[in-house]
Amino acid sequence: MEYFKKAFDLILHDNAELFQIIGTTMTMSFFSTAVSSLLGIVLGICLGRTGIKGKGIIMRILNTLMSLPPVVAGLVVFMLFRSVGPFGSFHLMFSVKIMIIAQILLITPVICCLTASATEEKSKLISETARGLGLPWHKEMTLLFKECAGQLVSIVLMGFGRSIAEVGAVSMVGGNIQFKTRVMTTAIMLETNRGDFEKALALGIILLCISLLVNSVAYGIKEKMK
Amino acid sequence: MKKLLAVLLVMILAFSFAACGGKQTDEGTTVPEKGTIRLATTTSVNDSGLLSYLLPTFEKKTGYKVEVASAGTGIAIGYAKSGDADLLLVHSKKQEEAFINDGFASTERLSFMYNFFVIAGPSDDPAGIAATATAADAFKKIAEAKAPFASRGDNSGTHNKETGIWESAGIDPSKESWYNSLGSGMGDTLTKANELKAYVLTDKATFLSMKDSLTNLMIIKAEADDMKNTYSLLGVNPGAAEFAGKDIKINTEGAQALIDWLLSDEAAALIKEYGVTEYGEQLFYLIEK
Repeated sequence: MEYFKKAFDLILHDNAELFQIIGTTMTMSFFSTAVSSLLGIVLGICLGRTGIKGKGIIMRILNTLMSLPPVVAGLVVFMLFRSVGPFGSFHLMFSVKIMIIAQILLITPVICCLTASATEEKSKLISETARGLGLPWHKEMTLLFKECAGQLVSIVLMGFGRSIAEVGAVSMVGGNIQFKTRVMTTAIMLETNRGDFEKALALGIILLCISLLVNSVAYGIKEKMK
Repeated sequence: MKKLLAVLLVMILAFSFAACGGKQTDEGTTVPEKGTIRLATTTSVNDSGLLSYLLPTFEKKTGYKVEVASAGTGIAIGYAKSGDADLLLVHSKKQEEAFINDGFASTERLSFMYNFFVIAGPSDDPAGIAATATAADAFKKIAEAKAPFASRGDNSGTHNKETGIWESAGIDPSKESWYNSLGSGMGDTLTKANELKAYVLTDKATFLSMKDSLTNLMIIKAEADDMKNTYSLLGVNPGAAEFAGKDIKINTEGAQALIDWLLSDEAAALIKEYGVTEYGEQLFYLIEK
């Protein structure tokens, strides 16, 4: 209970920096989830529908990438984008953009894999129905989206969850710079290292509350769509 | 789906506005803005709170903005070697010398301040190290008593210091059952040492800032000559061989301005005062020029 009080104190008083951290966290998680969802869902549906030969191998590779450790994703992006690296001329190190790039690398395989397995069965059924009725391609897709909407929302939320809770990749490429690339998780890590466990825990509670809020909104929409 | 995105977008905008509001209150300086200086440093420097205490004065005075990236000695030096930092503030002599030998430094090793490592341990001091003269002697006693010892084990500046002390004591503890190599940051290591009732080599600032939660530990041994922890500044050389032909932007001018200020009397006075009100003692000492 004491920690909840501390969390409230943080929100009410010491809040200029906190809001900045929450803002950066939300911006980062929103864009990384949005781009990953777009890529992952399109790829996932294609994978679910297709019957090409290499499908098994592709699925296995994607499944392996689902367990890609965040810090490895961060390391790969760091090696590519550091100033002496191949993409160094973009000068993206220690920016929110590069944190988003690292997270896209991390989240897209998860969304792609889950979408593929969620839509595979229905995809076949709908495809048969559509062929029978002579429906055009885009109508078939709309039908598929309507059928799988609930599952897709859950998948996107999972991606969002991985993004907002992730610390390894964002601290590696973001550098945890105050007022610039510090997000909730790296702030929690910093306060833990500083030994201010109460503040760290309070930040953790705030993070969970934000996540609860986002999930509630999404579930509200999901219910309405039914 | 559209609605969900719309709601999320509104939330983000709201937070972004809140963030902007926060920033505006920080401004109000009359000095024109001059660009940013990227300082790479180790977590222990940042965790002690010294930089967030010192840097606002520098920023207000010069108009530069300092971005502090802190991520462990190895990564901090890695950032500098990648051309992603303008200067370094670290405390690991061996790694600093390697950095200079590889041609990455634009300055010599500017050692400007030090603090002391301390050995913390269970209050009853089971290995009886309180009366020893040096850290090496204390480590020998710990090894003789086979008392539990907690090590950072993360190749940080503090860990390198600890390894050096074991070497000068002529002991290789790495395979002993009483030696716990934890692979964690300073704060984490102290928390675990507290649970293990183990001896631990720590910087004083971090120990003092966590004193309340470390109920089983106290400082047993402090301020021996071989426990000095020297902090140095190193500018990054834009002409380093590794950077040739790459689009590298090093803010040499800004880095020099920050170095000059940190070596100035004004900074010296601030460093001397740091920690006195909060912990009742000076935490960082200046190296006399």
